[in-house]
Amino acid sequence: MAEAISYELVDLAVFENYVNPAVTDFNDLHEKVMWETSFTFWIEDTMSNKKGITTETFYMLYLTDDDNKEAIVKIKTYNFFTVTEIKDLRTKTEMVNLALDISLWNLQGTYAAIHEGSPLAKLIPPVQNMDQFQKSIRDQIKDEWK
Amino acid sequence: MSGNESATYSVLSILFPHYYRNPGMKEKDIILPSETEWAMVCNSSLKKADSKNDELTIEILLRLFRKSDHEVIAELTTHSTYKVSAPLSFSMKRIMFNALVNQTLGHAQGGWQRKNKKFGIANMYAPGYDKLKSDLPTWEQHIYETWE
Repeated sequence: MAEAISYELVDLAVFENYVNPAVTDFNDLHEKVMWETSFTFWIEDTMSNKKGITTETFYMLYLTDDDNKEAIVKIKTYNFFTVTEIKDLRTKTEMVNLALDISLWNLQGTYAAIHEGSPLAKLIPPVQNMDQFQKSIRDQIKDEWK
Repeated sequence: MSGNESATYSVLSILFPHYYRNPGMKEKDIILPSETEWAMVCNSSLKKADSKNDELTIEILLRLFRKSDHEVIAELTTHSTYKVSAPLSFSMKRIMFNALVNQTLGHAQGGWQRKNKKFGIANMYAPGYDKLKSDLPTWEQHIYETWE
């Protein structure tokens, strides 16, 4: 990164943790399921002259042959980071990308701990590729991170 | 980055083989972050998955202890295994190794929050990757010696 930055994970919470009670056999699901993912973030000022980056990540596991996409598993997490002030747009974008990456890794760890010992633990949520969202991430940072 | 070289990887498993919480700690106990310190230990191992992939396991032990008497408050070992495309140049191995240590630390933070969810320490998070980075020279030697 062009500028020296310092960030800290301040809060991590699980907003939604759902397992469909109608699905009881998770052993042969590998071939039949897909993860659907979405994420969002926003920037705000904090009391400590730092910026706050909040992320929300939502993952849903559903059967691929199910037209109604009835979920087998849903998990939604919230992360809050504080970061020292950054001037350069490119560095801001890198920081938000890092915050989103860390949020997804935290979600993977949270998911693994929730489903420890269950066959569901083998269906680890994939990390979302952020490359395709780069323009919208940059545009949002331009608007929100003054 | 090393030219046009690219690498792919996937997470094979995330396990928590060791978890300990001091039995003297109660759910409502308040522990101030300023009274504590974190220790982190990182290890890795490697094996050939097949002709096109290696299997890299990274293990991170996070330990939270009291500054005053060094008593352990809680500790958690996270064991993440990745399938990484092969062969890779040394510089790409270095990039991948660092990225996957960072990812494993993310797994550890998520696991820590969940494992301690009823206790105040669930909301205390291990320092980020910046702190672990101080061990980089050792890791580079380790990659050099083991990841062929």
